[in-house]
Amino acid sequence: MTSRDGVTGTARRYVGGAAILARSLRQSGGHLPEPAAAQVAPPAPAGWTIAPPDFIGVGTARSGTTWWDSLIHTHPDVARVEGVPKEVHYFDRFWQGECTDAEIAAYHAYFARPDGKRAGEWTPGYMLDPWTPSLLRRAAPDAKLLVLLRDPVERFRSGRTLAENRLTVGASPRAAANAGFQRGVFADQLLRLWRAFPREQVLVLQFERCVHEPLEHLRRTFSFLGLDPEPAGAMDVASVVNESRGPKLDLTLDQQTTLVARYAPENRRLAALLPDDLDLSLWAMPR
Amino acid sequence: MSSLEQRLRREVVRSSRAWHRFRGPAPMGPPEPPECPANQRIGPPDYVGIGAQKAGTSWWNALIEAHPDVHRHKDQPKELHYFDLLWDRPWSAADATRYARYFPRPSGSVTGEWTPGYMIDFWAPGLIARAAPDAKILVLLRDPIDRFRSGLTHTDDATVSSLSHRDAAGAFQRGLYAQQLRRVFDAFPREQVHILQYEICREDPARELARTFGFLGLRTVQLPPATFVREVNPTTGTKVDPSPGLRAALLEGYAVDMEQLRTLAPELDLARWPTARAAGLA
Repeated sequence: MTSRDGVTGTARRYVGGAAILARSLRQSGGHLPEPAAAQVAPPAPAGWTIAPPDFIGVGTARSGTTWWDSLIHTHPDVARVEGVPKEVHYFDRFWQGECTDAEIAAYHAYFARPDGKRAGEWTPGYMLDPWTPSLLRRAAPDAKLLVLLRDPVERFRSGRTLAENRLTVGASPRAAANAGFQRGVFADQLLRLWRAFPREQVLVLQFERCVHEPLEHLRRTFSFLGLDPEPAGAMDVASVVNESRGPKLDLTLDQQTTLVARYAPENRRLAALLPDDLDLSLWAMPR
Repeated sequence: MSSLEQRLRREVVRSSRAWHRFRGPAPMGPPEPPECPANQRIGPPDYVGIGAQKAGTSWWNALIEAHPDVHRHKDQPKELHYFDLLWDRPWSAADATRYARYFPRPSGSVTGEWTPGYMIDFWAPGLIARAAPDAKILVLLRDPIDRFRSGLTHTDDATVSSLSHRDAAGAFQRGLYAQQLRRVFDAFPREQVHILQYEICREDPARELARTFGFLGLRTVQLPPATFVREVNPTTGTKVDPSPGLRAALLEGYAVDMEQLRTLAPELDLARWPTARAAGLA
């Protein structure tokens, strides 16, 4: 590498980084995405009850979770306090695996609801981090967990577009590629989750099936959450939320082939774990 | 030191780390290939060590190089990082030719490199198989929680409060050996891969080194006992001692991985790993 390339490359990284930072600040309303200080829930309306969440979406990023979460919150029996985000990201900062009773109570404060309604959140990164399942078990042992999975190659592609690892894993292409890849190794993540929660407390949905038959899977989701499935029929299931912004960065043919080959054994392990819930023919697999 | 001063220092370390994560590390890549000395020939490496980081690879590589028939060109580092940047640009036949240029060796000598990060890079094993299809592959593994502790201090003398959850997640992922080995076994025949355990190497380095020499096709030699005690690349900085909560979480996470290792690499003696014993796997 010549020194001129080095300077240009460094400049490009600064400019690219600044653009990502600006976008990230815009999207998060002026706050950096990684909270270092205590998170505080917005105040609950009078008469609403605070309780542990009834459901927590735990995975996975760039797999249609914002779409699915918004459909769940269209249900008349699901409530969310104004100002509570879809992704609370509460447990990111507890990577040392411990939080106090007061910190657990502060988490519950996000889930105020009127009598008879349900409340929850969906942070797609929870499933990835090894310390989260046991913290969730402690904070919400009875919560229903939701996992939405998507072809990991498509997930990877979509994550590149969003720069999902902005400010967090470093802007080096190597670090970003590895972090993106790890998010798509679903079998290990699911096995870790199942060690903390009984399998029947976890609903695994496949994004591609949700797209093909949204009503069927939305009804399934509502039933799993103990909700009346019927309101699904009146919902605008086709509107897609949180589509990738900006031009899609496409993968080269080489990259596509590598990803398909490297994800294949992990996808096969996943399919063996989910004989009824995963249709591998909907995902890119080597011929 | 006043508490305000302590806080300020912590904030400076924290912001500096955040800035470096934001900016990204300088791209790692190999230096220019050396000139091939007269009477030597170039060719793909005879062996490539691919992992794992913070598992004693510098020590083990130095021991291999203590063999009189092992040669490394004086300008070539132990860790070439040749494949680090090859995710974002297409691979060509010229990349394989260029890789071979790093390995001049006199006739009758064996040569190689050991870049512990290759194993975690999902694209690397396949490319190594294209650049050096006959190379013997070395993998040195270590108890995953011990590796995690050592890995979390890898970059600088970080204090716990300056580490982020992404640092911890990255360090955790490097200890997920099963998925990494699956990619290696996809790229290389099983018998071309030699898996070592740090704990066994520590216990009886002479015996384990003789096995490594045998795997590399090197003749048996007796090295002076002093060769084995030299510490190479010991961890600097304060190790992060996981809290009981983190230790329990790591144990659960690694149990899932080690269960797969049992069938994937039956030659591993999991009983040597406290984490495997605590998980009831050995």
